[in-house]
Order: sequence, then structure tokens, then C-alpha cells
Amino acid sequence: MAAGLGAAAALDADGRAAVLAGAGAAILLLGLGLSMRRPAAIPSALLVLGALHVIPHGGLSIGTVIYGSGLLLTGELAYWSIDEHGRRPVEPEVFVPRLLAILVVVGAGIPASLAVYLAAGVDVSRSTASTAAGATAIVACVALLAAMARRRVRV
Amino acid sequence: MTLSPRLRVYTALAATALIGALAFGRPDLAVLATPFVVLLGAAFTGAPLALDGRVELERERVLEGESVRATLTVHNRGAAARVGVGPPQTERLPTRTSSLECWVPAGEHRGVAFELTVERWGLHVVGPVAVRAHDRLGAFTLERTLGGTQELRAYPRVDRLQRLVAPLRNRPVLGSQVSRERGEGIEFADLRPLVPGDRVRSINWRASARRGVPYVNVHHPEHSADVVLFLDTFAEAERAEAGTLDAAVHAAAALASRYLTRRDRVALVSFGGVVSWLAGSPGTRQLYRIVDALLESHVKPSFRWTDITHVPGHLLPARALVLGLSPLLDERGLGALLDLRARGYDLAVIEISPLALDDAGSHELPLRLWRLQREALRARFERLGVPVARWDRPHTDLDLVIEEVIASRRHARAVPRV
Repeated sequence: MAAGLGAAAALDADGRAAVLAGAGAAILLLGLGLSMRRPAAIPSALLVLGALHVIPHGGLSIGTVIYGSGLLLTGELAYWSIDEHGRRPVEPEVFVPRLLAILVVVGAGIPASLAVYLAAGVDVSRSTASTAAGATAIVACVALLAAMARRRVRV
Repeated sequence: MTLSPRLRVYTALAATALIGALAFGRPDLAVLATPFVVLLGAAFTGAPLALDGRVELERERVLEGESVRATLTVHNRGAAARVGVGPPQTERLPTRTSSLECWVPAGEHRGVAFELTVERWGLHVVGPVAVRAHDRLGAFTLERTLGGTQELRAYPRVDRLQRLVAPLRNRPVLGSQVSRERGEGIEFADLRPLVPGDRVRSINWRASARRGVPYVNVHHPEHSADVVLFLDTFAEAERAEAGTLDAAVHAAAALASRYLTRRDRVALVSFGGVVSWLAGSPGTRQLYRIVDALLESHVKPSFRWTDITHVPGHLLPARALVLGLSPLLDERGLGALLDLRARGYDLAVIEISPLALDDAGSHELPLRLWRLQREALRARFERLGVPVARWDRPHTDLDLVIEEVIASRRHARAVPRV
């Protein structure tokens, strides 16, 4: 997945060699993290892959919609492979529900990203009010997610 | 419930991307962050994990060395979950079945079975069972124990004894023990002249013809006996799962089983840090009571002085044969046995030798000195007319030890009671 994302990022990029080198570094980081069972390497690799797509490109493209879901799928599969390490004997049907759930969420991420992509295309002039509204929306979103998580953990 | 660390990572990544999109005016960062926000929303809005369960044993009573199946039934009251089940928490009940992970849909039951091997007698507590559950996305983890505890009674395997120590005196009640007294019975005892009241069928015609005067046969009646199994639980020597208390319990169970088969009356006194007793009674039910009492035998360290006066008098009938099962390690146990002898009880001691558990080698000086001390102790009992037979389990059979006691008592006589 990481190699595919790196290749996709290099396709449209101006400095292809640099992007490929960055993709190689992300793949190496991810590979080392998986082989040594270090989950901390995964967010770093995802950041690098995300930066490879955002920095070389000048602006928004439709490929970003798929790329975001690809990043999520890469992260989920990486974390899952670390979770399965050293596990006790497992019945085969245990894997299918999680795989299906990941694919469903990744698939649901595509239309959601597409909605954001279309909303980003709306011409809204940049102002202090719009920036404040955006910041408030981000904080509210994060706060809501944190409250939902805290309530679930207490149950 | 605990939250998966990766959700915190996704939250941080998404927040960073959204803030970056706002700060630098890059909507592509917001598009990249959107799938992560969708996953977080899906993880936090699902049904919570909730599990119930119970532990069931295939049976509540087993023999030492047998296997028993313990089944944990998991009831999923919450979201569908991946459930990892570990073996029931037990002491001294190893299991060959390893832990297992399985999928339990919402609202359904799932049974997971474990085979437990009962290596040692005793009262074992099985359960609860530790489980770990993950939701569909692995976002939340629930760790808890399920099922409560179940009691498993493991009875010792009883060796069948060929012979038993015969008491010097019997009860005047019908039984299987040939008595030394004279009366009605099967075993021939003597001849005597006919007296008024004798039965005609008792007349020994041949002796009467030879002597010219009617003579009758006199027999030894079969009476039952009172046997008291005196278990010394002040101290024990043990190595791994084998110990002197383990041997004493096996001996007590074997002796009780055999004596009760002969319709004798058997009582049990567990004399140690905790003094407990079971009054004498015949029959099969008494065997179950004795074995159940033996299951609860354990050595409880105590510095309190305990002597034979702490045992109720009715537990030690005057004509009873007292069989002491003791490692001869504690002064209080030794004192109680010597006190019984001094009070005129018919006493025999089976020494559960702790030397069988030692591997120091006979050339070690402290061990040699200890062996000499034990020899002197044995001689002290024998001077008082108490036979002491040493049992080196598992190297020696209990039958041989019983034979040794019988041989030592061949010329024994009842001591007048004080």
C-alpha cells in the first residue's frame, strides 16, 4: 500500500526523484516498524506519505480523495499486523469482520472526502470570520470525538 | 474499557491536517484528514462491548489423576466482538488446552471448553476466566473476568490394602473382626464341658465320646472394632506436589475404606494448628464423610500449645485402636501420641517419613544426625510398646508397612488404662 501511495504521489509530482526518495524512506520506516513491532513508526510513515502528496502538488486534485483513503487503509493494515503478533490461537472467522469493517470505513471515507473536495471548490473569500469559524469547527469536532471516546471508555 | 492507542494517533493526525488546512489555506489537507475522521466517528458511535459468562464443570467430584472439562459460556450483550478466552484460573490444575480467540456476534452465546487435569486431591476452586474482547475495528478493548468460581472435589486414589492392623479389644457388636473373647462365632476357640443353657448343636460329639462327658465347642465371635485415624497436621515436609501430608491423607483414605468395609466404626481426628474431628460411625456414608474431611486437611502453622485434652472424650472410645499417621516432626504431635499411650489406648504409629523427600545424600553430617534423632524417637515409642513403622512413600507400599505393624504387635497386650 505504501509503495502504491508513493508511486501515485510521484506520478504527478514535479520533482519525481525526490518524491520517490521520500516514498522509499516512508516504506523503509514502515517496514522497520512492522518488523520490530514498533507502532510508533506508523504515524511517522503516514505523515511522510501525506507530505509527499501535499507538498509537491500545487493545489487540490481529485486524486487526493482516493489518496486519503489509501493512507487510512495503509495505517489500519499496519496496526492490525502488529496487533496480531504473538496472539493466542485464533479461529479463522475472526479476521473477516475486522477486514470488512476496515474496507467499509475506507470506502465510506471516499464519498466523505469527495464531499469535502466539492465543498473546498466553493468560492468563499478568506476573512477573519471564516477563519475563526473554521477553527471553531475543528476544535468542536475534536472535542466531540474526545467526549465520545471518554464516554465509551467509562462504560 | 480501554481505547486503542492508534485512535489517539489518528485524532492527532486529523487535527494536525485540519489545522494545517486552515492555517495554510490548503484544502487538500482537509480532504486527506476526512477518512480518518470517518473512522473515528464509526469507532465512537458503535455499540459498547458488554460480556457475561458462566463457568460449568463437567462434574463436581473426580478422582486424583482424572481429567475434567470446564466450559465457559460467553454471552455477548453488546456489540459483536472478538473474544480471547484464557484457561480458568486454578491452582494445581494444569490444562493442555491453550487459550483461544473467537468471534461472538451480538446477542449470541459461545462456549469454550478446557480440559483440566487433576493432579492432586483436595478442594480446588475453578475460575473465574479472564477474557479480552475487541470490537469490530479493534478500537476498544474490554478486559474482565467471567464466570465466578466453581468448587471441584478431587478425591485421593485409594490403594486396596490386603491386611489390616487388628485391635486388641473389640466392641460387643457384630462385625467382621475375630475377637479374642469366647462366644458364638465361626472361628474355633476351645472346648469346655457342657453347662445348662448350651445349645445341642454346639456339642462336640467326638470329644464327648472320647471323654465320656458332653463337651461343647467354643468359638471366637466376630465383633466390630473402633478405629481412630489420628492425623498429625502440625507440620509437613514437602517437595513440589509430594509431601508427608499427601501421603498421610492417602493412607487415611485407604485405611478408612478397608476398615469400613469390615463394618468397623472409624473416626477421624485431624490434630494440628486446627483441631478437627469426625465422630466414629460405620458404613459407606462414613467413608464419604471421612474423605470429604480429608480433602480439607492442610497444615496451618500455629504456635499455640495443643494437647490431647482438646479432643472430646467421646471421639476416643476406651477400646479403640488408634492409628497415628505422623511425620514425627512437631513436639505437640509427638506429645499427643505419647499421651494417648500413657492413657492406655491401643496405639500404633505409621511414620510418614520425610527422609524420602530429601536428596542431600547420606554422607551429609546434619542429615545423619537427624536420622539418628529419629531413630532415638522411634526407640522411645517402642520402649512404651507402641509399634512404629516407617513409610517411605512412594518407594514402599502401604501393605508392607501394615505388615510390619502387625508383626510388631504379635505379642502385644492391652495396657491397663490410667
